[in-house]
Amino acid sequence: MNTTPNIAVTAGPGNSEIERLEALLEQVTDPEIPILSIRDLGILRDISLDIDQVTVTITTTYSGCPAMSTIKADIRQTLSAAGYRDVQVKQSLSPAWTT
Amino acid sequence: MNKQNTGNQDASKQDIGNYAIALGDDSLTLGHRLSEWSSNAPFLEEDLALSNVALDFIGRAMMFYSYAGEAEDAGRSEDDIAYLRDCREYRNLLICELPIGDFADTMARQFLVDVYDVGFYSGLMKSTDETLAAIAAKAIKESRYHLRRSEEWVKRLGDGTGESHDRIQRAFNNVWGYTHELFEVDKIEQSLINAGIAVDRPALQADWERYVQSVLNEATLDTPNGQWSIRGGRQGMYTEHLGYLLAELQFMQRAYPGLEW
Repeated sequence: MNTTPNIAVTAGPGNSEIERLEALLEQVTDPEIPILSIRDLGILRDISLDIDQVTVTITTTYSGCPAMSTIKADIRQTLSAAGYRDVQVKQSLSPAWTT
Repeated sequence: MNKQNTGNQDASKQDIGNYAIALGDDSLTLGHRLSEWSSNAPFLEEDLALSNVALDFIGRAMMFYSYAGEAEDAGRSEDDIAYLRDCREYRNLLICELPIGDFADTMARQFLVDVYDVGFYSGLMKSTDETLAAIAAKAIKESRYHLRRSEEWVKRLGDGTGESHDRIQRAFNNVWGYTHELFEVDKIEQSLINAGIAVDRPALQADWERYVQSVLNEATLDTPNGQWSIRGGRQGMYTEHLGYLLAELQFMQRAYPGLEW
């Protein structure tokens, strides 16, 4: 399990903003195991911020994971509740997810 | 995100898209068949296991179809590709569309496909096409697990009771004729192989035969050697079974075109 996940953080002005986003996304959990956040699970891959557009990149655990649409919706909801109107959630395939 | 590094000018995006669709078709037809065991399996643990394996295959289909939609760039989504093509346009290998039969039929077919998938996805991981390689990197982990399961079942059923032995032997005899086309390619696929995009499927045959035979031996089963064989899946040919599969799969989307939540 990833205890110190390597989340790529886009450098530049607004790093404290990225930290804020990280903290918000810590609230997004596995729908079936709510004690684990998407960061704990290694699902969260990247957070980037371009002025006011937030792009969150996630990856699936196994190919047919049915929780992905729920997780995407949760990400959008969490960020929008915190005031982020323009949120893109992208899915990346590589590197392949592993425990 | 999904870069198309073709590695060869001759490999058109349409060819790559069609290649991805064929792989998606293999996955979706087999995934659908496996899902037919949900709530019908011999015992609970196997019900869960088969449902999970089905999800792995359906997930692969989604990835392949999404990529195909991008590659062909004709505005088709993964759902359009899955639900709005009829039998003749489906390009799956025929072994994938066969009915689940009894548990022995299912595990015999699954074992033969799993050995093939492990070989195939190991090769696809080296594709010059980044997205296909990435899909393969996910798929190979799952296929290795699928193979552990199906191989164990083949051994338990083969080297089991008189009845289980007879059923799994019959299952292998019935499905063997569908295995030849796993290792045959046409001109377009050959050109994709030459471009380093597609897997050299003929080259997989020797290892596949060796592995399958060693497991069948251990399971006290005979390796079928019938002359009968059937092929044509990649050319759009299909068995009498595919129509029923698609009728079930596609009913909602055909009855309510453009449906949304």
